[in-house]
Amino acid sequence: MAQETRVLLEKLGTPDLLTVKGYRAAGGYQSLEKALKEMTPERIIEEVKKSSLQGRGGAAFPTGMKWSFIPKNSPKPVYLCCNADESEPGTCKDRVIIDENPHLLIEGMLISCFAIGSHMGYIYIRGEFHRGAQILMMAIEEARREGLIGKNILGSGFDCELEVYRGAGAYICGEETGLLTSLEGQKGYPRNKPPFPAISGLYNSPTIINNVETLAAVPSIIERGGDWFKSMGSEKSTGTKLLCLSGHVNKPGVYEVVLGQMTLREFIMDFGGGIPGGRKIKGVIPGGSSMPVMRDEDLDVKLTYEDIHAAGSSLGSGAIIVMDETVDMVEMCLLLAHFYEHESCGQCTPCREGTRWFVQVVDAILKGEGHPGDCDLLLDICRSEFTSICPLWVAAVWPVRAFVTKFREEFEEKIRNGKYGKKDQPAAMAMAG
Amino acid sequence: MPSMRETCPEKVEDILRRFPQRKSASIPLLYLAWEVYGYVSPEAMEEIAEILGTSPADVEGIASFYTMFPLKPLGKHHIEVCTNISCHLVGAQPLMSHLENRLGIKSGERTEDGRFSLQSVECLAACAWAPCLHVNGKEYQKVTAENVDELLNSLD
Amino acid sequence: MSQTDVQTVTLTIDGKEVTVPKGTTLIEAARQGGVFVPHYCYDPDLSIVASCRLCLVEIEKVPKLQPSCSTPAADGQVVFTQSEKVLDARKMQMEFLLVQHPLDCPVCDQGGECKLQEYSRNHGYDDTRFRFKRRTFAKPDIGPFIDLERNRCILCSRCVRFLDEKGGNAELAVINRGNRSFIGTFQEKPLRGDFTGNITDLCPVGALTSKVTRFRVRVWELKDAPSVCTMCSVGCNVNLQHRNRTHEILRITPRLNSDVNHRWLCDMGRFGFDQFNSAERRRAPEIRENGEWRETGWAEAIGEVVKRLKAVRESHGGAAAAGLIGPRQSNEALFLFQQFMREIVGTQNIDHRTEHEIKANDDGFLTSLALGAVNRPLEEARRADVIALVGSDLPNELPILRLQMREHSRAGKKILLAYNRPTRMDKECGVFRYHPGGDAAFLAAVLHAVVKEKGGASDDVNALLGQAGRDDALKIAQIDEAKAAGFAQALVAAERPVLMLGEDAFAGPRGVEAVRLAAAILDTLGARHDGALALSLLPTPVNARGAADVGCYPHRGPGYEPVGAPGRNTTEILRGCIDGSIQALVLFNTNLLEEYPDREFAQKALQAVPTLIVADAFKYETGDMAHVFLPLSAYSEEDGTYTNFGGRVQRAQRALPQLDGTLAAYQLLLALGERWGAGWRQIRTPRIFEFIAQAVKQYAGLSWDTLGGQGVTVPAPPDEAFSGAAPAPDAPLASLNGSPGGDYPYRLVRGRRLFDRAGEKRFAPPLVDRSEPCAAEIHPGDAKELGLSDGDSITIRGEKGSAPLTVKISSNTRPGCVTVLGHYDGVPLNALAAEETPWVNIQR
Ligand SMILES: Cc1cc2nc3c(=O)[nH]c(=O)nc-3n(C[C@H](O)[C@H](O)[C@H](O)COP(=O)(O)O)c2cc1C
Ligand code: SF4
Ligand code: FES
Repeated sequence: MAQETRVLLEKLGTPDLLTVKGYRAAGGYQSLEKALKEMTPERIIEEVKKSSLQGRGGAAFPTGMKWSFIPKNSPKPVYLCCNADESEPGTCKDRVIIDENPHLLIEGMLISCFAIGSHMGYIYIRGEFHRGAQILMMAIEEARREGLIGKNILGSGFDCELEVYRGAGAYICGEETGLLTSLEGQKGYPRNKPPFPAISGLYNSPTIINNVETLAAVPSIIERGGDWFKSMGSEKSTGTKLLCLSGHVNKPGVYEVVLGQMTLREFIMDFGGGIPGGRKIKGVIPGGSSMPVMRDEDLDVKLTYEDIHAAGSSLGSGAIIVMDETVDMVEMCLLLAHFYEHESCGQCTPCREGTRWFVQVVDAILKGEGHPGDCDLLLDICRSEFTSICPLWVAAVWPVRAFVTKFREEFEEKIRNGKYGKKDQPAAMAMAG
Repeated sequence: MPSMRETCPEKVEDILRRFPQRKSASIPLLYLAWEVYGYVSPEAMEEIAEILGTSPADVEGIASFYTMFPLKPLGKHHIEVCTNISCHLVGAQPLMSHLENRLGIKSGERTEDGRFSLQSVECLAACAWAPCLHVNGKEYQKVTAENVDELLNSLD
Repeated sequence: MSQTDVQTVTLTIDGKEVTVPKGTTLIEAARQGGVFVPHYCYDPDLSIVASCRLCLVEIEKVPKLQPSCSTPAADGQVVFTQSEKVLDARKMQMEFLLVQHPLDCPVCDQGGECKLQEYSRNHGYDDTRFRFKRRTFAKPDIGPFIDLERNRCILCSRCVRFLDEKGGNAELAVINRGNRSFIGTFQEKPLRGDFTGNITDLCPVGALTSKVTRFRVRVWELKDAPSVCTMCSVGCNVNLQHRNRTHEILRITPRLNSDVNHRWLCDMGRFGFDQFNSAERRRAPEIRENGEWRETGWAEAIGEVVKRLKAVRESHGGAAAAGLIGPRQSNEALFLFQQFMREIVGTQNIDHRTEHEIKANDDGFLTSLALGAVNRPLEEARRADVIALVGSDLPNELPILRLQMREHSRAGKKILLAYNRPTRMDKECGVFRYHPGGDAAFLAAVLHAVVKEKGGASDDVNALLGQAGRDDALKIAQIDEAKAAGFAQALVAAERPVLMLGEDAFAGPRGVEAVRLAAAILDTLGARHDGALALSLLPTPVNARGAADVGCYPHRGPGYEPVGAPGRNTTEILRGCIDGSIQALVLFNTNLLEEYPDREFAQKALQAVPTLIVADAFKYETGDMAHVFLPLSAYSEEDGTYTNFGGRVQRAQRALPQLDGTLAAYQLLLALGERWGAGWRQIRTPRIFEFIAQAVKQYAGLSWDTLGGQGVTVPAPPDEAFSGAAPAPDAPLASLNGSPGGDYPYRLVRGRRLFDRAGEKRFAPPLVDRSEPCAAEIHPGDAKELGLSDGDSITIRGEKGSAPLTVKISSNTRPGCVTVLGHYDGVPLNALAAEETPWVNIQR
């Protein structure tokens, strides 16, 4: 049976980990010292590239490559933004680092700032993390007192400030450009790309946005080397990954594993301790609510980014949501459609209007008021997936399309048994409103 | 009502000092308004607009974009129940119904005595410890229709 | 930028090669290549958000469609705006936009002008697959001008961006998020900006429409008449949209003229048109006999006027007659007026300056011409890097110039604004505040500082400085030396400074002095371009410049030619009425009792004069005193030319036939000349303009046709018109420091307001709705001393009269002053104290 491999969560449980002293006692801040005193920014980026670390926020973009997009000798300040918005349903991993090992994140951010030439890092944390924000602020305060943040860090001559910025209830602020507009004090409206944040991001300056888990992986890469990190996992899915297991499992939780050592089903069954009541699995969302749902028969896929991708879904943020045979898939689809409708920023047409339309159609089907063509209508609305400003609309399309295609019979059955089911055409179009 | 600059000038100044561009202070100032007045009042939005050199409409637009900011007073105990997928799968709906029955209000409402307000919210990132709810921002995990009364009774 | 620096890119759009400057967006590149890409959120004058997603185009080798409004054209790009993929995406966006849209086209005021209707015909689905409840929102009341129907809104945010970036204080915002987003004002309060009407032009659908026009007409019934706005001297280009059947002007929309107003209008100009439709307009001449008014026909009325004027001429000589004409008439009427008075009645007693006491015939404006001022505010502001404004509450005087100042300020130009109270544009400017009445003193203080910075000045300038000592200047203006020096330093540092003087400065009691000081400042800076001094004056009445150009002065005729023996100016004429030396007074288009700064004096004069002829569209209180009242048609009913404050001569074409029973001012004048037997006969405007072009040197060569739709800017009058000599300065500055008498310790300041009930504005109900009540604004310190609080009733008493007002405490008013904003229509303020001794007291 596969085991956890704890790298990011390694120090959890050591005493006083929330303090600089405790974290240092457990070996913390040595990577920072090494990075500042023994390495150049170029070397650090090189090492991160070598590790093949992929962003843990959902898009799995190679971190080292992203960093290298920052223009050299920019006349404007460079910013690092840590994405601690953690709002993708099913995802609850970053908070473990924030709540229990905040200095790991701080250390990772300081090293990353040094690497990209930034002297200012912001942690954009979702507003609902009241406690997490407190913990981070206190940790930063203490680190500052200890000379780890501020001027001339550890006598290296490197200056760097960190600041916590609290969101206030908006999933879209996890999208990187929405995060930036929010941090600029506006509505979290995503921006058109290009320009990409690395060229023009926060305050129109070069900016790197990385997920908490991504940044938290940096100290270990510095400590033990990119080659060591890459030696774990598969060719493309290197290092360890935090997985959030929720829904119908006996032991939900956040687990740190090396990818490629097991199948998705093995992970669910071994780590999750099986399905309550020994029931059967009906579907699994493998990477947070935006990712296409998979059917039970597809779960014997190797748990790596590339294999799940090949199976038509994505590991996304690493949030695995398990639904057993009792679940009504139309209801699940509606739940998620509702979520995206609620969270669409409303700026661009397809997303603002499409998310609402999804809700209306799926809701009608669930209530027994679906029309015979509704599944095709839903799929047709999905055709506009790549016409929006930001990927939220894509994230809204994928689950709907997946639920409708993978569980179409459930949708059709509800339509058939509903008000308009028996007839070929609806008698009267209910043109309300 | 005294302004924030009268009530807590240091806090206002401290917030403004933190950002290279003044506008970034908008969300922190909205939080401050919430803290000072118990909700984000129209007067507070006007004051924030003045502090930031923007318009009150702009501030209202921002405040209303973020679902956490209360534009009306909340109950003394503001209960937010996650009804998103992971919580839903393990009993968020019965939990919500139970709360609605027990408090006699629906999501988005406040009890007449002002003690409780109830809101169903999107995923609170506690999926592995579901179902979950917040009371005035404090998180409670694995709260079910069966054990929530205990929690309610412990609130004064 | 030299020619070679301009980089271009060449790309292919729909198979056609297009070369455009680097940085051009695809949507504009396509337009230049003759391809129109449908769009909603994009507007070339606003920032780009690329949110409607209608303008998506396909670019070869780029996997996803890209918004053409925000994607820069690149060399070698191959772009398709009509490919299958593009058309499909466009169709989808249209469907998305239509699903929530109400199907209320038959009752929507945008019907006929709606981009949603238009594009859905061209790109949309034939039917809707949408069968659910449409989104609905509350309908708020956002003021008298604009109707907001949120259910029709497609959230393109043009209105929000316009009011943020151009013409307002970000009064609109998108409230809420996602699907629940809607456009709104703060807490649903009414819009209070000055340019809100422009959002009705920008709104591509029927969400924002004119409340003033709403339900009165369908757009396809409206006809356009190209005209210019006559509400201020900017002379914005407009279309007078009218319906002949009901003889109504029903909408005013901007007409593109990038040298003047571009495509913007202020709300005063846009929503004031009901004055033309007003039932208050007079429709028959009237004669007053034994105190009784009697309506009559034109033949009798004209005969009566001619009879009376001839009688005066015969018994007392032509010089016993006088004529005043408001600077709001067309050039044609103004020209004929002075021609009629001079050549037929035989008098030089002519003036158009009805709003000030005239002390010297050569006033501030003429002084500026004599000193070689360029007087082209719009162009000069565009070319300058530092713009200094003194004595103007621009937002309340010349709104569109203010709008452009905002653009200049956003473009990084420095704007210095010196005025006696806060204005609505302070945020965009470096602000300098001086005491009311201290305009000239402020300029003197600045001149001292400029000379100090520059280390010397010409003899003339030194002589001027001798008369205006630095300490006096600082004391009268109540300004720090350092502040004045700051103003001076910004001017000295400028590469191309311009100085603009508002009416408070150049037309007030120390106008000539202010202009001389301003000119001295610019001379010391060496701020001359092509020989012209970088000085522009900002008169506000629509045709102040035209009235001057065509010779409505007692001492200067058309083209500023001096006349032999000067006649009497406004003040002298009124004095003549009182002392009996003036026996007949002809007033055209001036409500003298309201306009002249000393109401008591004007009233005495009008009562005394044995013959008073008043011609106007409305009767007003002045008309009530006449012996013969002649109803004029509105400017919308006659062709005419108007010369804006920068010397731009523009055509205003008539929209409607004359209201029955009225005559155009020029027709009336021609009829008077005809009846007199002077050989005049009725001719049309273009022909009158030919006479003007012959008589006014700077207009030589112009004709009605060559003016075209966009007007022509005329040069400043030649130096010889002034024989090279500038008028002598007024008395030394120190005399300004008139100390308030013990009985009247407060200075009464008449502030300006765009939306008040002055003049014809009172006949446009929407403007009246928008206007705010008058109050006496008092400094908090003074209020405390007097024991007054907000809303208290008080009486303001001056030497000449008193007025009841309510108190408004505000530090916008300086200590020792009481400010009344806008036209006060209880007891008029000009009835309290004279212009030069504005002292009053405050009583409970
Ligand atoms: C709608 C939406 C929501 C997102 N939410 C989050 C989030 O909550 N946390 C996060 O780290 N990334 C989120 N992302 C991904 C970010 O846009 C971005 O890719 C990521 O923060 C980059 O960091 P990484 O390279 O370290 O993964 C979201 C993306 C989208 C489109
Ligand atoms: S896709 Fe949705 S969330 Fe993203 S910009 Fe458009 S409306 Fe906003
Ligand atoms: S016009 Fe380009 S997205 Fe709206």
